[in-house]
Amino acid sequence: MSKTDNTKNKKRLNQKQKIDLLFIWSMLIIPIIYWFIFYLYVNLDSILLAFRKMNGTWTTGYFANAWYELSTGGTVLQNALKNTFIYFIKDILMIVFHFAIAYFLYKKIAGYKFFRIIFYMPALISGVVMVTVYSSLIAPYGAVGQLIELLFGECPSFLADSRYATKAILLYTIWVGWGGHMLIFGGSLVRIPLDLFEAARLDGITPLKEVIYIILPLMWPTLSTVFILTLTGLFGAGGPILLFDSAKLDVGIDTLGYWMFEKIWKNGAAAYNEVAATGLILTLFGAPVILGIRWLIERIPQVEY
Amino acid sequence: MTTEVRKNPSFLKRIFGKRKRSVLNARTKGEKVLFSFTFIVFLIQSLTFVFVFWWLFNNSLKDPFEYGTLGTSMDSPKELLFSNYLKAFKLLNAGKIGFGQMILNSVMYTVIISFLGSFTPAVTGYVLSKYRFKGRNLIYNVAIICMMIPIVGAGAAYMKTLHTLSLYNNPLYYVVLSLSGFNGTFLVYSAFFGGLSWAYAEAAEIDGANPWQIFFKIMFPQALPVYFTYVITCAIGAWNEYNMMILYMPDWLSLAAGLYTFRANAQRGANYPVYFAGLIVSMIPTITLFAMFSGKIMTSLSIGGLKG
Repeated sequence: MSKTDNTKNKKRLNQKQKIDLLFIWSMLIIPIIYWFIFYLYVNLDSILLAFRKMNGTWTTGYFANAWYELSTGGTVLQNALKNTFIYFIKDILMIVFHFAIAYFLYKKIAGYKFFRIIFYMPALISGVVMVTVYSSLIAPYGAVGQLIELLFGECPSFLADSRYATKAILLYTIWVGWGGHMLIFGGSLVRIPLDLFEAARLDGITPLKEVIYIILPLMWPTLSTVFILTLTGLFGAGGPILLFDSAKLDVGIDTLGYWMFEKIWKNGAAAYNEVAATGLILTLFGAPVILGIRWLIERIPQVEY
Repeated sequence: MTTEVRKNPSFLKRIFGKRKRSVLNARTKGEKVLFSFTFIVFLIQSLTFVFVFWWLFNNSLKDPFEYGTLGTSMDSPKELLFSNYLKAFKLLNAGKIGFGQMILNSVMYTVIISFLGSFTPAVTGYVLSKYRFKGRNLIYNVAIICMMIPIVGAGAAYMKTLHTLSLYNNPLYYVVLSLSGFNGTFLVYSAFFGGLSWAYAEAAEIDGANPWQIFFKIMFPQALPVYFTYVITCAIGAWNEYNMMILYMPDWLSLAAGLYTFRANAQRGANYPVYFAGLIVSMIPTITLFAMFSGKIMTSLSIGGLKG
């Protein structure tokens, strides 16, 4: 190859590299700007909001106040924290339940195609619909309420009574949550080679051992991912509290997520500092714990297949 | 040479079709008992969901007086008032926003979020999986780390930023919201494009195609099945969205948010059957989408093996 050809090739390559670079950054620039504004700037500003007054002066007052509210028994915020933990524990337990449902569907229980669609229905329908019907049914005048009255003599107004309100919402989230993780777990189960089951059955494996020694290890990457995602959403755990709180009955059903939502919604800029300070405290405590557990989970060896 | 044409089974056939014998449905005696018991539990749970539809439909056809004071919500309507569905368009409102406007708002939000919001992660996933350049690893790792860190309470700063950028209560917000290219979907696209052969692109390069043509005409069309699965699931989620609408778009409430607002503002004596009719109307698009694409939704989404 002559020197001129080499120079031409180099020029062409340089031009190709330039065009490639132009393509790369033209495609990435908008998502990167989005990330800088809506992730980096928003989160840095959130930290500043926890310490900066509207007039620009600095204070630790919001932080101290949020700490007091979170650590003192009986406050709205501590009740919200307690409720959030209740929902979080339910979410963790539901992973096991969802696995069981996915297992039965995968094992082709009679009517499994019908059940798969029906259990997915609440994901298709707005929470507004489901909460409306559920609230009407469990009200003292509703169908379930009437049945309870028939059986026990009286039916309390579950959603208007602080003793039952959170439990009633918890029950709702369990009722509509049967299809949770169904697609993810189902997808993971389908990937397990059937030969494994056939060989194990020939060796006389019991169904329980099949779950413990074949299914669980092979599904571990999916199960651990779902567990980690649930863990990451610890402080966001809850139900559709806004929909249940439409009557504003003050029956202690707040969760942290809803408390923050309502503060911003109702009080606007006046609540920014309080919400940011509370969020910062929770992040400072929660993030190391969550990342630590995540680190431990990732130490569990995964099976390649 | 003959070409075998495989027909897609109908929706009903997919649900109620016969099961093939396989190791998955060969059961021991103990399993048979367990599966029978589970079947009954599943059936009862399913019936409760079917009951929801029946209850809603049944009460949507009643007279408001009949629903509120006469008998129980389980009684059949004395007269089938299908006119309630027409009344929904006249009577249901969230302040200044009428029922028709709510539907239009929902359509606008759903279309933008599902089509554009599913496309942006495809772009970032493609570029980061197919090109090696300075800063690639940094961008990829930062995106992953941000997904792991559980940050709480940034909602206040987010709202402040929306106000600063004049995106609060502005439909332009939907477009901006769709430009987030580094979410969980990006990982799926990244894995998808990472597994695609570069051979076609190379051939196109030799023929003089530029990177944009390679992406839009060769690589992205291959990702269309994944893209449309996300479009459908995104559309279902967007149609049912209410929290975000209430908080950031109070004058552009979607159907779900508007119906919530109607109920929250409703005084005693509100026309509940008409409200129920509105709820049923709100379910039609998502149920239709699901009926059309259920097979795709049920089989396409899996995060097996994903390690964040």
